[in-house]
Amino acid sequence: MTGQARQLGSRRRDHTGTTPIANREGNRLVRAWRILGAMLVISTYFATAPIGYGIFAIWALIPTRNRVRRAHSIQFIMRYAFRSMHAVLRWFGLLDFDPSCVTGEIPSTPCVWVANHPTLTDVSALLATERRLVFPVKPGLFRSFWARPVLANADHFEGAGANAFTSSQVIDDAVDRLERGYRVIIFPEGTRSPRKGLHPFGRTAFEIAKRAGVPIIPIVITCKPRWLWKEQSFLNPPSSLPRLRLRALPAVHPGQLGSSSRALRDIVFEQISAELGLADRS
Amino acid sequence: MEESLEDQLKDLIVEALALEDVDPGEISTEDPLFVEGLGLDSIDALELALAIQEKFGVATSPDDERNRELFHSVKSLAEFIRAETNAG
Repeated sequence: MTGQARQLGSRRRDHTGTTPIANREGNRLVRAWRILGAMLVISTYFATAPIGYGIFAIWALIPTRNRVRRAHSIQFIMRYAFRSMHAVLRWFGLLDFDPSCVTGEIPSTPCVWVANHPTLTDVSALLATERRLVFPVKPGLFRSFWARPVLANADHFEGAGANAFTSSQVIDDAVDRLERGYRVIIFPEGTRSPRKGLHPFGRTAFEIAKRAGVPIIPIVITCKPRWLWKEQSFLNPPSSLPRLRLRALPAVHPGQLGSSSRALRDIVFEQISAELGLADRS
Repeated sequence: MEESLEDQLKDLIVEALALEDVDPGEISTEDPLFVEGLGLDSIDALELALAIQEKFGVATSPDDERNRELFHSVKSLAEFIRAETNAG
């Protein structure tokens, strides 16, 4: 075979020995399977979740003498529900995430997790990883009659929403949870990250850490290829398997940087940006 | 000559919020204070509300629906403080 023929051959065949046409067909099949899988997951969810959730919510509302124990039990169930959900998503080839494989060190003592928010699935991923995690929930969801029994009794609390002046209540609630031994998750961008880069960080998370005197754990979340960003539908999965990964960076202690939540915000923003390979804030 | 209320507010914003790289004279009376304009955030809003209460004895409730409007600019804040002090 001449050198040119070898080049043509190498252009036509990839390392698996399949042709581009076969690859295209294979990709279409994989994508079709993913769309079918997504439809199956959604339809199964809507068919079964209301029943399971209803029983769970009623149980959460039954009066108890030990509220703390009830909150921990609800969190335990939610954690394993999210773990099961991710196992199903993994089985269907929709999303590869293993909650037991978070890299980096996460203290078991109270701290504030500050994470970027590339995909809808990262909330459930974070809650699937560790015990005693709480977070501020969007006011609309937190106040809904169906979600409130579970969220409030699990010691999650209401987020600030669009009203900047309600963040004082969010800070008080978060500090209260930290004093009670919880770890608090905050997405400082306030919404899902843009397709490229990060939104500016708010200061609430850093003010909470400062007032409670607890460390901040920057969490870098990556989802490659990206799936379920703000405008993307669940029924439009990418052609290759999205891999969701969580990495905890070294703790940042408020005392290290004086008492400025601005300085804390800036350093954590830089750390997460650097880990994501973003050159600067813009 | 006595400093205008708007100028007092500009000084207060810089001092209370520790905006080290901002000169009070650079703050526009009519530009938005939050997000665009001066770029203040929700924590700044709380600190500013507290500072205004301490200095002028004028307070708003966190749930007050007018907050966004009142804290829009130095001008709107000054109008609010004048109205409250005249009413009191």
